[in-house]
Amino acid sequence: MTAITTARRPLRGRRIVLHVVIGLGALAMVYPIMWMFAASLKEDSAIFSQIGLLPPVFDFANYAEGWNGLGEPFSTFFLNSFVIAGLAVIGNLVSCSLAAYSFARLQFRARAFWFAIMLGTLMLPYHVTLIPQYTLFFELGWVNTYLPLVVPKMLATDAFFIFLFVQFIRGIPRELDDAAKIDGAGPGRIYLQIVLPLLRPALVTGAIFTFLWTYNDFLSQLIYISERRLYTIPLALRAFLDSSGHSAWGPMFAMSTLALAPLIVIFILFQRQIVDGIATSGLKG
Amino acid sequence: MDRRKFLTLSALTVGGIAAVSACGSGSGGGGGESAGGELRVAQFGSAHRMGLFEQVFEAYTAKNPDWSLTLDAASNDAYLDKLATQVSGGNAPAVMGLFHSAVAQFARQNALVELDEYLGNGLDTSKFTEGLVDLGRVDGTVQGLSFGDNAHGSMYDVDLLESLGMQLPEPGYTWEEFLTFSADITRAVGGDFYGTEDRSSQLDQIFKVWLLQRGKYAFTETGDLGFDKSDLTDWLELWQMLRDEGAAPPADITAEAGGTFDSSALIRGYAANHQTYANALASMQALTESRLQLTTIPVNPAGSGSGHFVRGSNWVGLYARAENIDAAVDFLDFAFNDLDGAGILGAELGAPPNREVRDSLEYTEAEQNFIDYINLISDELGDTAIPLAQEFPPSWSDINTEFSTAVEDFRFGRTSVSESVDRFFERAESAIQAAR
Amino acid sequence: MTGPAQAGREVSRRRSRSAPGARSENRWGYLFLTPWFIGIVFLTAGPMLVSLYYSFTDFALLSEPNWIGTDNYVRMFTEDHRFWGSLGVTLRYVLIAVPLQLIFALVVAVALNRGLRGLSVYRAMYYLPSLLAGSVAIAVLWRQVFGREGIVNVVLRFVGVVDPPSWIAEPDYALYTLILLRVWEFGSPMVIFLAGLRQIPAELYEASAIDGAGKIPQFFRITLPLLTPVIFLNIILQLIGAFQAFNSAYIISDGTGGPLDSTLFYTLYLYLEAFTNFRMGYASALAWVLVVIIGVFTALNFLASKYWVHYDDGDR
Repeated sequence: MTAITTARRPLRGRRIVLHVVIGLGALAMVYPIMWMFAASLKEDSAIFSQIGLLPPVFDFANYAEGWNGLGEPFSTFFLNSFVIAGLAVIGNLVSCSLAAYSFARLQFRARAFWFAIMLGTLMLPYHVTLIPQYTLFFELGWVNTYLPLVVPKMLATDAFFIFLFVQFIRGIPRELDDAAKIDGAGPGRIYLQIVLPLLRPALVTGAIFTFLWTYNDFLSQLIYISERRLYTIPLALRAFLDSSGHSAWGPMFAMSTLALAPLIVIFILFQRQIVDGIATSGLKG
Repeated sequence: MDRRKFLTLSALTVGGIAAVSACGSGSGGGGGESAGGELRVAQFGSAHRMGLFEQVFEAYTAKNPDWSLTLDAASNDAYLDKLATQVSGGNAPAVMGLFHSAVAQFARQNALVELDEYLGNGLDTSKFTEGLVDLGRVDGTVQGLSFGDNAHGSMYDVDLLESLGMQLPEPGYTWEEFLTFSADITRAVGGDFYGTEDRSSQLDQIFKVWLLQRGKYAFTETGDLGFDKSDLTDWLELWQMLRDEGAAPPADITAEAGGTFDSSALIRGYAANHQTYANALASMQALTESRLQLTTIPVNPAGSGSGHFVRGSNWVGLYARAENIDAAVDFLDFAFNDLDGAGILGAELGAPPNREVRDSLEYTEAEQNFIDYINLISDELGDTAIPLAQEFPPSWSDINTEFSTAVEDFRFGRTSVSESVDRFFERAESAIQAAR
Repeated sequence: MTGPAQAGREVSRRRSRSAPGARSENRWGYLFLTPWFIGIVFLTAGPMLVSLYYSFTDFALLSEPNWIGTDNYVRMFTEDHRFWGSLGVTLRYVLIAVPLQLIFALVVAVALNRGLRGLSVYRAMYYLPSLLAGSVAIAVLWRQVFGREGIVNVVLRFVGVVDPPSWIAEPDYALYTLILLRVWEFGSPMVIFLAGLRQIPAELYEASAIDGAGKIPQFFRITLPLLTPVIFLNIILQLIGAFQAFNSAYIISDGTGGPLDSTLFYTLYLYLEAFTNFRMGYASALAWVLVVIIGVFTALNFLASKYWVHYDDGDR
């Protein structure tokens, strides 16, 4: 009897400590965002002069102003960002998993060479390929459309995800492939029926990242989009600020807070996919 | 994932691409004939400014229904990235807003139209402030025009001053007086507050004014430095004295100020003033509840002139490879001279260069304070300005950086005065040589 | 491992050695790579090669480039103190921030992977900072945390520290606030770790628990070894990313790399040369030097990976 009770007490204490530490850590993560939300409830002239975190009044005027502040309702920008990010997700998942499967599972001539090239494309900073790419897309007539933002994703230009999927595919035991091969399956069937399902956690991760990074991508969207009705969220948010003139900080913070909401929702929805996904790698059958 | 899902996904993707390429109007080019068409205008700034431009477009189109104008806007910090990319790709808008530091650069690379033939012939500049148009001369020809007159100035928190029993310094107050009352303010308020901010590390700000009071410009016509070691030494020592007397803040408070208004020492609550271009008044005023008013930068009574001069802000140039130059010129004339156009822009881009227009418009309190100040400089106190080409020689960007480094290194105590000065002149020389 | 698995491996080995099998796998290999090949040829290779060409020219963005040979490279290594400065800043950043961030991410991922009440909420909160990456609001927010009057100093003054400096305005400390910023945004490698942890079969833990193994031995004998491919992945990706870090420094230092160039990341310097000084040719040279540097680091890591990364698929 005594042995059990003494064993339980330190365990609960440790649990509490763990909760406190993780909780404090979580607060540290969240503080700047709380500040931003608080700022969105204040007037411009109060945001930078008032020291306290909490606003005296919870004033949502900035949200109304920000929503219509750019001539178009902000819903337009949300829709645009969603479309681009959504297409980017599909493009990346399909094209990068195809390429990753090839690198990870198939033997072909000069595989190591092409793998190195693939990684190499990650190492050149974007700013120096910006101009040649712009010229290329201009010649194609794709400027001021979403094509330069979406088509590259369909063609596996995001080597980050190729490498990500490669490493995860390599974590899938070959025995499964071999078993399927005995059944007469070719690489296509193996890819579709064995690898892809087991790749689900990585695919979901890839989907989240692609969505997030495309949603937040500023520079390439700036370069290729000129019409207001095609604007995306990052462009719209920047448009509130003017370092040589009048900046609308309140509305900008308000819309930034609002723009975070879909990301949080998507993350919460999808993270269960990562975690509640396949807990075993199905060595049976 | 079974075959069906995979195929659905692929179909969605193809459909998505089709839908996406239907959006957007493809690459924009000019209309071609002078009978009408599309004119693209690039501008930097916030949504507020873009809204004004859209209204100007509507007013223009009302009078010229054959033309449609579209705005290609970008926020300040990324504006040149986009514009330079467009110029490089051959696809820049016909009308390009430019920062004053970029006009000469664009002109030297032959990206701008020479406007001389249009002056007085489609583009009326007769009522502009005297000498302003010549500021946009690069290599002899006018290649840029300014939407708004501007000048260096200092804005003070007058509510604070009055609460201390002090007043806004009269335009033309001296450096001596500046030191005294700044130190007074610091003492009176106490804590981490200073009578003046420290913007001594910017080549284009108060340094230029101070230098001109010594009869010198930062650069000569040939692109060499217009000042010498003794000037820079005096400048560094002047501000060290201001810091020692407590009139100006220490290095780390100053370093926290970025280039934005919200990060300035005044708004953050560390200083009583902000020394910059006068057209910042309205934007600064929007960020604080205290009243702000303009006065001059301190003046040297024994110097050659006030050091202040009328300059342009918010420049504009026409893209050399655009197709509708005549229409672009006509639009500029509308924006500068026609009350229906210039009246919308008001004081947003600076004081309207057309004096008749300027005098006939109505302004907010802050804007009126600004307009009065500009009139004061141009009509009474101002010295002669130099053209942009001289103000921003090819080596300007590097020298600007080296100047900041020299002042900041000394400010942080990393170098002595002579070390900073020597190193600056050494590096500036090599930058000038490299740019030749 | 005997039986069907081994037989399968023998069959596939025989398959890959025999001519028709090898050729077909060759073909499949290239077939699956087709989208990537198209992307490389049409969208990536061209611009990359053009930028290599630019590095040997005096390309000034607005006018045509002229060939100047290796002048850019010579200038970079012999005359440019900011090149060496930014390289030092970046190296320091990479060598400190990457391990720190990854350790953090791993610890939190492992902690969040075990059953804990309120788990999904915590997981979302820990990922939240990464959602803000690149946002223009970050600069203001970071000043609210690390500025003279920021929350960090408020806490420090509360515990008795007398005159805490402005962490973002002091040249000695500014870089560390950026390192902290990167560590704060550890959500991405954390999520990757979580996904990797999920790939480890539960049976292994169950089997070892039956054998009497506790949590700690389990971590070192099961979790870590099986996680090595994902750890390696994160190391490589974060390394490549950190060398090219740009946004945080640009936004927080207002595009200057200050104070006193203490936050002048290599790609920030590159950007300033390209778009502020209009020296795109020189910037291209800087970019390709960076490619070499990153390439060397990556290659070394790949070589070292043979000794500690454990793949389950029998390859390398």
